[in-house]
Amino acid sequence: MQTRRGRFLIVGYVAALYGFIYLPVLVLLLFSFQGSRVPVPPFNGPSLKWYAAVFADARVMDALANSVVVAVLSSVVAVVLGFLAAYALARHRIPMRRLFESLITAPLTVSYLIIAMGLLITFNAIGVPKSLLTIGIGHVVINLPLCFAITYSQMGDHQANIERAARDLGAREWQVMLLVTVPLLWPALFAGFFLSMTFSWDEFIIAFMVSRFDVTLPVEIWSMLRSGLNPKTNAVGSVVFIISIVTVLALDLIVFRRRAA
Amino acid sequence: MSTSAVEVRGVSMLFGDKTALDRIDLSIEPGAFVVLLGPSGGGKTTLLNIVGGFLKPTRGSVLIDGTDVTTVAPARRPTTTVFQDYALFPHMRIGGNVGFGLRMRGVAKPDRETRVARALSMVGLEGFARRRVDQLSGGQRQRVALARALVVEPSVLLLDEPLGALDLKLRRQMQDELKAIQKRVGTTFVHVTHDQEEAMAIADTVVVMNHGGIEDAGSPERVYLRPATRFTANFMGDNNLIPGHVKHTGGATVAVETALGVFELAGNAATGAAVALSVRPEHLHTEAGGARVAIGRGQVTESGFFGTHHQCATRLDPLAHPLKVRLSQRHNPHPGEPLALYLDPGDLVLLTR
Repeated sequence: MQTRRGRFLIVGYVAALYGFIYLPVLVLLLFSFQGSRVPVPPFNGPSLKWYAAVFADARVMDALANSVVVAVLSSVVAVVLGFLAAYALARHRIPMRRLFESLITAPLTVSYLIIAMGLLITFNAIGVPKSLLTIGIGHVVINLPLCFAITYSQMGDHQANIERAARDLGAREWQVMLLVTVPLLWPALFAGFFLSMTFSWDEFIIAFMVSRFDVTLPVEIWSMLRSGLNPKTNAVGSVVFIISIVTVLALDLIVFRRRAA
Repeated sequence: MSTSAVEVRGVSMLFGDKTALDRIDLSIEPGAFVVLLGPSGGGKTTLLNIVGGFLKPTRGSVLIDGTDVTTVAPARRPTTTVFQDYALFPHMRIGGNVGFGLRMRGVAKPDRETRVARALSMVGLEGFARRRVDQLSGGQRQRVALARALVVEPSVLLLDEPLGALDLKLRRQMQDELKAIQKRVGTTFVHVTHDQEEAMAIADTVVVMNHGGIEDAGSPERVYLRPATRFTANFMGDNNLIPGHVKHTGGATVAVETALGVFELAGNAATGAAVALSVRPEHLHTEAGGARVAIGRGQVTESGFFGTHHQCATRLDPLAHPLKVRLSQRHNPHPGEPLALYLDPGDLVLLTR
């Protein structure tokens, strides 16, 4: 009896925990298929008309395209810069290495709000107009430390020895990096890229503060919400969520499957 | 006079205030198989890294084929290295690994493939080009590393404890193969190890290193039978050192007084100098014969069987340490047994350093 009750408690606890995490998303998803104009119970769907409305909305589609462009390009830049910084710090004798290491990872602990304000003030001061470019720069600022940390943690001594072997066999520095270091770090670089993508994709505060006419999807959703909740906002939210999930699954399949193999 | 393959001139290496190498001079003939032998921290790997270009010496210079390469990067030296952990490229096939150096030298693909195939067959891995690194055993990886380093036809091949990760049986087998391959290609090999049996089995010249200096250098026979220093005498195989002092000298011989008596032997030392006489365990006998002289009766304290022989420790009262004595397979003494010992003074080696 005790064990059955214990098991019941465990199952109940786990159900509550996962419910707590996923129920809001499930509700969002469910009412994106709502038949009527208000996303509140009772559910009277399913209907795809709100998705149709989303895909017909030019502003939402523009924002979606902007989000993809910003996410991909800012992540590529963050991965490249993060890798180069990690290579420099791991493979060369650099004075005050510890200091540079901490300085490059420090932004991970700073709130996005502070970073956004700093960027806004800086862009204003040096006269850079607010645009997708400024959003992209903001996303590189938040994602570079992450890419650096992931790459840096994977650059061990054994790998250094493999690079040494390449140099010994006549490879120039760029050949060592391109033919040996990058292929060996491929999983880390991929992980950095996909994580950066998901963070950029979801990011609101920086995108909101340093953008003007061209906005990303989270900013567009925010302006839609100002005119009140409706199933269309649920549909947009669901699209954002599904794309995030697909990205994470892709990361899992490509990077972690490979490592396990 | 022919040019040395490797010429190390007055090389010192300091790490902070720690001296890893102290004024090393070493000349290696082309086509020689040289083994740098010594304990960990003796400086042998540091010296290898300096020859390979991975370290720049604090002082001194390195010449390869007569050209000063002290400041030349590893990629531009006519040397290649077989690393202890092999350092194969795990993301490339075996063919890609072996062909890497040729690719860096701009060798066209068809030519490269021919040479890779030839290198693989030389190390006994014919048809392995398409395999992945993780499909290979330790011994096979070792061979790939060797083929990868040799395929670019270096003047000098550097081997950094290449057999250290292999089990004993495989290590002995690879030793023979290394030696055979070296004879076939004729490349100068510089091999680092702390295994003195390995060193004796493969080397043309053994260079014994300790505390950042060269203790002794010569053929394995010479270094084993006529070690130059106490350290070499002890490091190369088992040995007994009997302390003594020079009683008088005459021409090319000296008379050394020890607790076991006075021995007259060839050598050079100042009268009164504190010296040691080395005598190998296999040079101590239990019966008289030839030029052997009796050195006394001892008592066996312990004994062990080593396959080819028994070895026992025998306490002789005048000596502070028991003598190591090698006996036949049949002769298994038990502790406490008395043993009369004889030696041929011709087997004694005078050690002044």
